[in-house]
Amino acid sequence: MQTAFQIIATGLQIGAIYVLFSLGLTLTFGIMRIVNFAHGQFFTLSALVVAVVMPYLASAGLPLPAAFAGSAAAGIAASLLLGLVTYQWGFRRLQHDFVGSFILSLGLILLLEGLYLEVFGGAVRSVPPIIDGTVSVFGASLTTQRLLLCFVAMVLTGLLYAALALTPMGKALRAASIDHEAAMLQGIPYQRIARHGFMIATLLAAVAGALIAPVSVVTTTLGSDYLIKGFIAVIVGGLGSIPGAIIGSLFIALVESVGGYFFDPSRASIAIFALVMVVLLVRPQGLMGHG
Amino acid sequence: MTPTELSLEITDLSVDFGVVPALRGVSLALRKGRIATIIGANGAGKSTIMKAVCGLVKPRAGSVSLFGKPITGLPADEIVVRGLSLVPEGRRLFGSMTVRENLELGAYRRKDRLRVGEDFARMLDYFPALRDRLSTPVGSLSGGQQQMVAVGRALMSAPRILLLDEPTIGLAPAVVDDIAEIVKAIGRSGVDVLLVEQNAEVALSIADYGYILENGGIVAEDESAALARSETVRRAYLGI
Ligand SMILES: Nc1ncnc2c1ncn2[C@@H]1O[C@H](COP(=O)(O)OP(=O)(O)OP(=O)(O)O)[C@@H](O)[C@H]1O
Ligand SMILES: [Mg+2]
Repeated sequence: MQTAFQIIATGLQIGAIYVLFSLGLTLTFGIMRIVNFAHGQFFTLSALVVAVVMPYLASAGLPLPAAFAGSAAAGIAASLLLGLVTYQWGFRRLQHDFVGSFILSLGLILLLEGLYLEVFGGAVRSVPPIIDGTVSVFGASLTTQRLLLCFVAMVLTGLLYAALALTPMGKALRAASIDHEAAMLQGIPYQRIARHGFMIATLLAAVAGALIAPVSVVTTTLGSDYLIKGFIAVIVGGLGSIPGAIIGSLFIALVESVGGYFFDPSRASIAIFALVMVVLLVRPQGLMGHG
Repeated sequence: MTPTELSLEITDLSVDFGVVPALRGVSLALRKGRIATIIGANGAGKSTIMKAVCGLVKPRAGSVSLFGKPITGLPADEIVVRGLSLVPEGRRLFGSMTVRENLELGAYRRKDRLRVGEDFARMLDYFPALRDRLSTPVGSLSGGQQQMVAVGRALMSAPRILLLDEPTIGLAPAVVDDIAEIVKAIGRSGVDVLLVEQNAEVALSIADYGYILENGGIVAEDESAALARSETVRRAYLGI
């Protein structure tokens, strides 16, 4: 029983980050009908900036939580800027152009990974833990830091969910995801909504990157692994579906933690691919996808 | 006729899809206080006219003006703000959203919140059947009720001109009559209506005057009664 809780707790921790990541992918797909394979680069940049800036701030005498907050703000700002630039000069022109956006995002991955390597170097960085200690829940032990990470991810997910369900802007975004021409016929400014959607997706990836930095090793290719998992999660959940992204992410994370416990991580990856194939054979549109 | 008597004026409108022409120099006008119709067969170009007017399709040539001001080339979301609303072919509702959400989205750009509430109430008077369905996802309504939501959503922008693209297609005869009555009532309430139909009988019973569209060009225009008497219209569109 205790083991079961430990496995589930581990799964939820990984899942929380996958959720933030895949929400962005699904949001971008919903509103612009493109898959941004370079989504992971926003995540990587934010994590890299945190990994570089935080030790600097800490050595300047700032307490660790403050140093983290400062470096996270810098990382998120850097990612948002990158997001805005790639949108204005790239993705904005490729709305509803699946092939064009595919080529652009692959190009961006190569370009940005090269740039990151040039600027940040190939060293594997790690960030000092912000908070020490562990918490025990139902016999499962969790580091306080990871618990906090989960909490922030859950709050963000909840906020996004509520905003989409309740605010006029959120409803406009959902409408534009269903039928962007029909949305424009209601006066919804599609161009503005698409940019907002893309930037919200970027923000989610940037926050996820900043959160992951203290609990994992940060490299210039950090985002690629998350991109694959996040992409699988949205395919399983149904491309464009918000609940689908959440369920898909938790599903992938649980498979990974169960597989990782009983076998080894590489078998867990194989299990994920096998289960994805089963899901897609039974429900090609994904668990929560329409038609 | 002076321009001020026209609420919508389409001049020499041409649209191509690739190299295929869909509209070849269409000119027509919507007069204030009247209901006009465009009748045409499958593929004649009716929906293309609607889309070009609303800004969803860019014309190759020609112009569209609203109350004497050109709107050609404006994005669709700006044209709604200027007082023109379209009930598109196939309704294009936001299926997974509720009836209320669909209707509210129609008023997305309005600033006069007080009036929006009044219009919402008035719209439910037009369509009392929707009153109990406001929290239902619109995709689970019947075809007739969905058409009511589509018309209601367009009215929520408080348009001065309403365009309807085949609002009666696929509906049961009794529902077709309901929709026809509502379109006439909308016309009487001071909204100028341009109605597109394949069903010439329904269209001519609603509209004051009409245009016949064939292969992307207007081939006839007249008062509805005259069109209904015309030998060619009767043979081609009324099946008599
Ligand atoms: N997006 C498009 N791409 C290419 N051709 C198109 C497109 N939309 C319409 N067409 C063509 O333009 C012509 C006019 O189409 P349109 O939809 O305006 O006809 P319609 O009169 O509305 O017909 P219906 O009664 O079937 O709705 C048709 O030949 C159609 O095949
Ligand atoms: Mg049509």
